[in-house]
Amino acid sequence: MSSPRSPQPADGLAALGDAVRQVAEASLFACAEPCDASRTAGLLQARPPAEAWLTAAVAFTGPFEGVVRVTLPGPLAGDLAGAFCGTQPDALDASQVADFAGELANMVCGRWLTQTHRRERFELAAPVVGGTAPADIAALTGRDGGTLGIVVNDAPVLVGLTAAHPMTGA
Amino acid sequence: MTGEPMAGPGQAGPNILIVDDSAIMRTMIKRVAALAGTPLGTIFEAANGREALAILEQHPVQFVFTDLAMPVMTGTELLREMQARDQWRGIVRVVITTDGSDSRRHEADGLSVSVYVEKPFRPEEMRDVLTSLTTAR
Repeated sequence: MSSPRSPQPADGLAALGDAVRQVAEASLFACAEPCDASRTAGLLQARPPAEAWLTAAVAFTGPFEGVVRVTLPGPLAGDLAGAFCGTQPDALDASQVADFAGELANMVCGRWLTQTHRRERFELAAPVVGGTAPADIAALTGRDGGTLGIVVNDAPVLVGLTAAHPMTGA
Repeated sequence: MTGEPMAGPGQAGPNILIVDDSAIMRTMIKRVAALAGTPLGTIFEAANGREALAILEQHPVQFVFTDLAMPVMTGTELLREMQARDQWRGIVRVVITTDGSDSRRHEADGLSVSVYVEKPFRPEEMRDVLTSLTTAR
């Protein structure tokens, strides 16, 4: 019996993009669709230069291990957090928005693993959420094919996947 | 640990305990439950299994909605503790989790879980879960 193969970047990102879409539609009342590098770059350029961004990362272990990252503009995170819990965005404080960003990454990672590796068992670590400097955003899109651009409510979201090959080398 | 009465005077409804380490997820579940249109009693919240056990020791609860992956005490550990106590045998257990793997579902079956809800879920899914659970009481 062969060992489960850790996902190749393209396979993983496409499925992650689908997971983002499902999370957006089910829980956030938002529209989400993957976009190509050119459109992603355009969306990023259109953002205010000093805008705050959040990155939520969820590490997972199991038959293979890795990290799923969701990076999004702060205002979008606030809007989606408000939609998620049925309140106005300005009624939420920074810690609540960060909590939401972590839960977003948690749902994306969990949905992706459930749909692509339902027969395997994974453990997801608690999300880690932090700010990302605008200057670092563009660099994310250049990472060896490991980042997908998604447009959510006309704003860019970057979903990244780092997956380590299992020790058995499949 | 908080308890928020949902029913007005004279209204009867089950007390629900929501267990999730994400405060905003607890808020979302509470909101969806309140909008479901079924009578509810008090809604309690806990951030992990240990807090949940403390609430169960002190308050009558009819439904427990729990995440699985939580710090301090996981949802699986909470469900095992509940399984071991006769006084909690009648509590309806609902798992709400991002982990829909076959092995977790099988494990939940062995811990008297009535409903397994995968995140993300649509509000109407939770409405349907609450309606079916309250109708069955």
